[in-house]
Amino acid sequence: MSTPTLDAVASTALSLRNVGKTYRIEGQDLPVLQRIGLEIARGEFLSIVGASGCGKSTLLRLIAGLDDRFDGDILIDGEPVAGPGVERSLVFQDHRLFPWLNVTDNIGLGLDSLDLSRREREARIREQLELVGLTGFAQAWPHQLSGGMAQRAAIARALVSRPDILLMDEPFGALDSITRAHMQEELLRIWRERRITVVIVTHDVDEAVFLGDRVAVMEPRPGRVQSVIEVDLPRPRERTGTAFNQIKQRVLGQLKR
Amino acid sequence: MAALEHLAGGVGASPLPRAAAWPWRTALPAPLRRLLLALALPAAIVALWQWAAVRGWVPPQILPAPALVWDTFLELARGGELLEGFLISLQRIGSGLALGGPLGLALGIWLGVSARARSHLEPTLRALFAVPTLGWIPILILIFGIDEALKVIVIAKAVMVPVVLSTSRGIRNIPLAYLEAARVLRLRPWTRLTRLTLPACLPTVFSGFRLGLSHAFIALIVVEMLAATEGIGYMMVWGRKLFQLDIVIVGIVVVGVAGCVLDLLLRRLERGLSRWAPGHG
Amino acid sequence: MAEARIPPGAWLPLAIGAAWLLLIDTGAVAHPLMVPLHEVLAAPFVDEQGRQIWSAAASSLVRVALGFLIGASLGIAVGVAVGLSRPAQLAVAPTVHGLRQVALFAWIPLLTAWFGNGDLVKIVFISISTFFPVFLNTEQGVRGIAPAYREVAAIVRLGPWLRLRRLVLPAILPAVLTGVELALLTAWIGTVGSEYAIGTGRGIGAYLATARDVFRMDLVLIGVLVMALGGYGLSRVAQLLFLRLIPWRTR
Repeated sequence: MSTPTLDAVASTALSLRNVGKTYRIEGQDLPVLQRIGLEIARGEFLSIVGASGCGKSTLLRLIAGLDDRFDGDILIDGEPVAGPGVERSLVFQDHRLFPWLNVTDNIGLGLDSLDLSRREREARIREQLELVGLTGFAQAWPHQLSGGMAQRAAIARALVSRPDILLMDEPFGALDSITRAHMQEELLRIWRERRITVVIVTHDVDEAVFLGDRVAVMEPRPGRVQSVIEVDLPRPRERTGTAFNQIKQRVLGQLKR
Repeated sequence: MAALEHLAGGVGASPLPRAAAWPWRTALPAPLRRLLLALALPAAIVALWQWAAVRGWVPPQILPAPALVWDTFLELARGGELLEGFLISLQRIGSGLALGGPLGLALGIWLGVSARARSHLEPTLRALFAVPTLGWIPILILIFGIDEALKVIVIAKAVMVPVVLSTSRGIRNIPLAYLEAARVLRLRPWTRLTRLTLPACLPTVFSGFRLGLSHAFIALIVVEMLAATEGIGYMMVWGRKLFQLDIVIVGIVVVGVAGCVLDLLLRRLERGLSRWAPGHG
Repeated sequence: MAEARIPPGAWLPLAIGAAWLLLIDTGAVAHPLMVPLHEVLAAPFVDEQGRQIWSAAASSLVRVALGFLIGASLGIAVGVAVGLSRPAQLAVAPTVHGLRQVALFAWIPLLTAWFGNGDLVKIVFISISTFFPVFLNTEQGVRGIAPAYREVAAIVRLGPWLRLRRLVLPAILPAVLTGVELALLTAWIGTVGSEYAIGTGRGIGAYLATARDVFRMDLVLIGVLVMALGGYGLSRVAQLLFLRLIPWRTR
């Protein structure tokens, strides 16, 4: 398990310290997250994996700023988060593109909070379309896109504001396995090109090990980070390779506990 | 195939009741057949009516002959009274819509967006809305008399009620998924309104307007009959006073046809709207 | 958490009531149409014309009951007949739908010419108002009986009369009751409406017409209030009835 050193703190993009969340249902306290501690370095790719109900999506939402009622601290570059911010973007499992806007306008929504000139807006949107490989579909409507394409558009929308941190909540869960594998490779390419920090939440161990520099394993009831496993393999990774599967087995072993 | 039928015949008579095999069943195509059947009853009624008028079973003041009604219709149409009355009625609906529509929309949006407004206003509004348009008429007549303002206000009220209800419901039913996406994207309030709230609740709002318009139409007839000096509703009352029931019947038919056409137009419009904005459900 | 003593929904009516008392009852604002609150509330008991509201309400209730029974029975009977027979569906339904497009009030001039100004015409109008919703819902209910049930009835060789009693009527009960619930409100509005339009005789509508003619806002307000209460009461009765008849239906 990696522990932050003094040098590492300087390049830490995201810091979770003693983060906890409790729901109050019918007079009873239901702890969903407990004492979560994670230090995520700038430019790192972190996978968070765990069974359903371990609170990983809740954790991601806290980081994104969708929920501001929690214990502990969530720090971005040393500053505590207060609601959604321009340096973070979130991609949901369902693409959540607005059906009444075409792809260009949907992506443009990501720029709404920024004050850009028209030309800059158009340039940025074009840039995103190219990045995710949807250049020919700028005028398409969401219902005309396949699942994978729609999710790519959602990623474009999340990246158009040039965030430092990209948060992804089971983004490929609704896709078939072939599309999913393709999207994972695309995601790695985008990550390398943009040099962003990515935190992805997934229940797919294969995906977690394929993508992440580290894999944080969470256990449920209450949600806790059980262990963080380093994936010290060069990319591109071979899913059928021995080393890959060894790490996969380690993660699975942790999950079974 | 024959063996199966034989088997079925052996077990017992065919289980499903068979419709009477009319000889002309296969002679005509189905849609034509349906049309003829649909027209059969009204045709029979009109025929009976004509017969009764010709035979003098009822005095013409009680039941004018269909031919007379038709002549009166042509007379009123050519003389311009029909068109005049129609235009005046249309104008009233337009004014009532222009008054009640935006008001209802604004109130509905406010109620949809603000939980505080809802908790404070909903009980009172629900009680007020429960009073049918008819109940408002005596009160409003005392306040406004029987000139145009009354009619426009009555129609505006009839439009407002469904618009407020459906707009507030439409806004409250905007999927949480989109609201969260809007928060994460940190959309500005104006963008949120124009690019999320309004498009998302458009279908519901539109069906509220559709209902409001049909209520407005009924309110128009009612108020014209009770407190007007021109318009289709008044025409019927006037015809009744003169015991010229042919005019009354023409009025009834015009009202019915107008209502039909209005309903069809609105349905068509609604379908066209949902085609332009796919993904709505 | 401290519980609010006055629910938020009550603020507005209380404020209006307070303003009413302060401005009008004290005489600060004087206008023939602005009647003091205490006068309005007392009128049904002390005012000569105000007291008529009780008999008026009774008359209206009797009328709506009669008209409703007639209209609903016809609506159910015709609805079942038309729903069961495909040719009847094609022949009768379009005509009824066409007639439904005519705003109910538009029938009144014709009906008064045929039936005069008394109770008969009002009851006829109420019956018509009741007929349409009940017919529509019943017919829909009959058509909606799952074909599976019909096949079972056919295979078990249920005779037509028994089939009606044991299959059709119970199966369409929810739909019929929905139509009845809707029709109750329509019938009530039709009752007061026809009384108001015709103006003669006794009833809440006639009461309103008279109050309007003598320019008494207090009587008008009472009439409208009684009308609203009547509508509310009828729909509550209907709801309670449904709960007893179809207890398995969750609303």
